[in-house]
Amino acid sequence: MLKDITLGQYFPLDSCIHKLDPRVKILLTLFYIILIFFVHSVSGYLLVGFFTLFLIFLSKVPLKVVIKSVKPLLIIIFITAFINLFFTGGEKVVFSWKFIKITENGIINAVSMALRLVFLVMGSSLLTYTTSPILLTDGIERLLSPFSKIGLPSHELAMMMTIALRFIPTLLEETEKIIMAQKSRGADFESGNLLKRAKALVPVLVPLFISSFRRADELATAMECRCYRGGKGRTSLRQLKINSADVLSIVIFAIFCAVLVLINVYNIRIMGY
Amino acid sequence: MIKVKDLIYSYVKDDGEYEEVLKNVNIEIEKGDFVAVLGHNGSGKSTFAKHLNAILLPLGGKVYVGGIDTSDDEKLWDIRRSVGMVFQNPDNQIVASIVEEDVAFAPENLSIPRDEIRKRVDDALDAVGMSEYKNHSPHMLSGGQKQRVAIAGIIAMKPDIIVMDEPTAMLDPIGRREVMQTIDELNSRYGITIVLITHNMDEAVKARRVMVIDSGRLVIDGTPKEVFKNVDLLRSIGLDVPQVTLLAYELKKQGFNIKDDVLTVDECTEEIYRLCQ
Amino acid sequence: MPITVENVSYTYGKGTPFEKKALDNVSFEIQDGDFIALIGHTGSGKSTLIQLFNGLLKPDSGKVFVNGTDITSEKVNMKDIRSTVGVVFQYPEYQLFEETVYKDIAYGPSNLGKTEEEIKEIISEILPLVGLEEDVLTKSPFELSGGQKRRVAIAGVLAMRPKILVLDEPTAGLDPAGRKDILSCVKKLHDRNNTTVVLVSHSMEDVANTVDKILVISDGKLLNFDTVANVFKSSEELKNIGLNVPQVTRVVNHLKQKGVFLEGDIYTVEAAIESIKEYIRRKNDA
Repeated sequence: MLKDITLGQYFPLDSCIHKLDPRVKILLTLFYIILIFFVHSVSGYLLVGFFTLFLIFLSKVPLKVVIKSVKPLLIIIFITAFINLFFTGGEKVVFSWKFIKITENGIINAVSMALRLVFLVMGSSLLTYTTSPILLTDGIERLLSPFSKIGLPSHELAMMMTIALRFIPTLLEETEKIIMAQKSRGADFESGNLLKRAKALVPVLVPLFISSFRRADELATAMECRCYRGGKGRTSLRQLKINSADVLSIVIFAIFCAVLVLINVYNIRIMGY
Repeated sequence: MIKVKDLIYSYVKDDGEYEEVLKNVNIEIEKGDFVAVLGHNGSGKSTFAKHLNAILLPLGGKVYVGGIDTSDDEKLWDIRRSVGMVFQNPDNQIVASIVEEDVAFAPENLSIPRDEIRKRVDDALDAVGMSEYKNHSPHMLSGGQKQRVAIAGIIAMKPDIIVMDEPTAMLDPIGRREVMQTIDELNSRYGITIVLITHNMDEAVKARRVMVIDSGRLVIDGTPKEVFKNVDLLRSIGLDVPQVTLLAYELKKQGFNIKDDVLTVDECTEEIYRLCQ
Repeated sequence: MPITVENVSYTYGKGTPFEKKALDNVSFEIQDGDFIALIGHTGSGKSTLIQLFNGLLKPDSGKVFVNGTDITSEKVNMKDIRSTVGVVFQYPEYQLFEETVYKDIAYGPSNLGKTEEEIKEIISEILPLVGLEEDVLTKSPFELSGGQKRRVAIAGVLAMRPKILVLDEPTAGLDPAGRKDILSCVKKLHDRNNTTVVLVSHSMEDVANTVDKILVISDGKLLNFDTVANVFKSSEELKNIGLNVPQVTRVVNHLKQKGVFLEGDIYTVEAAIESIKEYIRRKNDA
């Protein structure tokens, strides 16, 4: 059933990575993503690779699951690599045929771009695998809250995310029900050309929209009845606290950064790459 | 506790005409009472309910809650806190995707300190018997369980009155029983005043006082025994009576010496047993 | 149009942590013109069973025959099945989507390839059956009252002219008058057109007043399939699975414990009155 799909791909396990403060995890993931775009050498990629594997190992999330997370983005990764491969100029031409020219730089760019994207996806998946959606929302809200002074609606954004998370399973279930009802009235969603199939969806989408509006309306009333009046002055049940494990993870990450910088500064290369 | 004086309310229809939904309703509800408001769909009972915590404001007359006029803008949040509201569809009143987070929603809005919220959430979940589900996701719960979570979310505001607008209409019999049991306990154990809007006779029977609303007017007001005696009147306005009440009523009509204010299976058994001796 | 269910099992989410056995080796046969109530609490497998009747789900094992056709086979024409077995789901008004009531009711038959003329005829024929007036046809379904919307939705299924009609709690959320209207409309349909009806209901009083036979399902297993009288005789068994018998039947059972034996199968108020009168008459004679 549709409602059984897991949301935000959270993988509920008991590991030291799961226990880290969501704010720390979000920030470190951001740094990690920025860092991998500064990696230019094989030694750098090896370091990032080992570090990522180490994190996956600590998180207890099966390696297979993390690798699978890359799959939906394979096309994008290939296209990026492809563009880099053929459209990078350079001195050393490795292969040429008619107007196609592949340079050594092209190959290097293609490989490194692909590697960066793979690491990027794996790193950010690890964040969503080890952090429940609600903690993630909480973390984002707290991280953004300083910006609310300059007009960023951080509470509203977090509230929207919370409600979306809450209602996605409900709406999926509802969609399933409407599809069944319309199928029982002889609707056919499987055959015909694209236009015909798109048209067949109208009897599903219209009721879905109408019911969503009704739900939104009722939810708004219910929230008002529970004294909701925006984020101002709200307190919170959940307390986020930085503890020693968080500090340790920041230190380990800092060491990782330092080594990467050293590799870049001293231009440490393996076999010239 | 609640005082409704000459309440008038009308909606504007699509064609611009006014439709009077409440016509001069006068009601007083005592603290700690358990009142069922009966009426068929469209009788005005839900509109009445929405006046009790200032979701709707009277177009004529006044509604006072604990002495406060609900039209008083400055007191809006005091009224909303002291009169909790539970709706028909449990899905559309749960905000968060973790049970305890949802129960904490109202106290968070009321700027209650964290330790106090923790205590209120635990107490509220305990009161509805949902403590073991505090870390569950609401969409995995049954209808009755969801509705109890919604009720816990209201209890966490520590309201004096809870208005329930057909809280069992979308539930199966087991869910209904769970919710009715919870409502009963809130009233008897915690002393919360209950206003239960319903068209289910078997539920209204459990209240201490029943008010019947039909086309915007209060037509009968009394104890369940007094109200359900009026079988013909209730049926004429699209309501019904419990099967056992109907049985006693029909027997009496045919000349048997039987009490006509029978409400439960046990009472009915007693009466017919007496008749058969 | 008989429906035969043969050793049917169905499991949701096979191989996932959410795996749940919904039906476990269920067999029964519904005869032509039967009026059956399907009872069981939420999660008992009722909804799964309904979806098997018109091929929305295919069983993991076992077979479902509608009028002799095996609808679990790959070759079967789904549109034929859908038009033979009409299913009205819970809160069917949420499936309305067209601009006018007419267009919405016409959705089913036009999917079946009926012509504009035929549809017109069908609609004017079923409108009185569900108790709607001609003038609602041009209105938007969304401006109708709750009870009217539900009738339009039921009409939308009836417009496919099903020989077998399955209704999943058609009275849910309606007030007593609305319930009575819908039930009497279903009864009329059964009596006049000899449509086979399967009615899912939680209200034992409603069940007692309308149907002929009851199919009890619990935990994915068929518990009982018999006449109303026989099913209500085993009130303990029903109680164990969270169901109840009508109030008057409970009164009769309590009286029996006290030594007052009323004659006959009593589950409606009328039957109870007759039996009580009879008991007193006999007592006075003796």
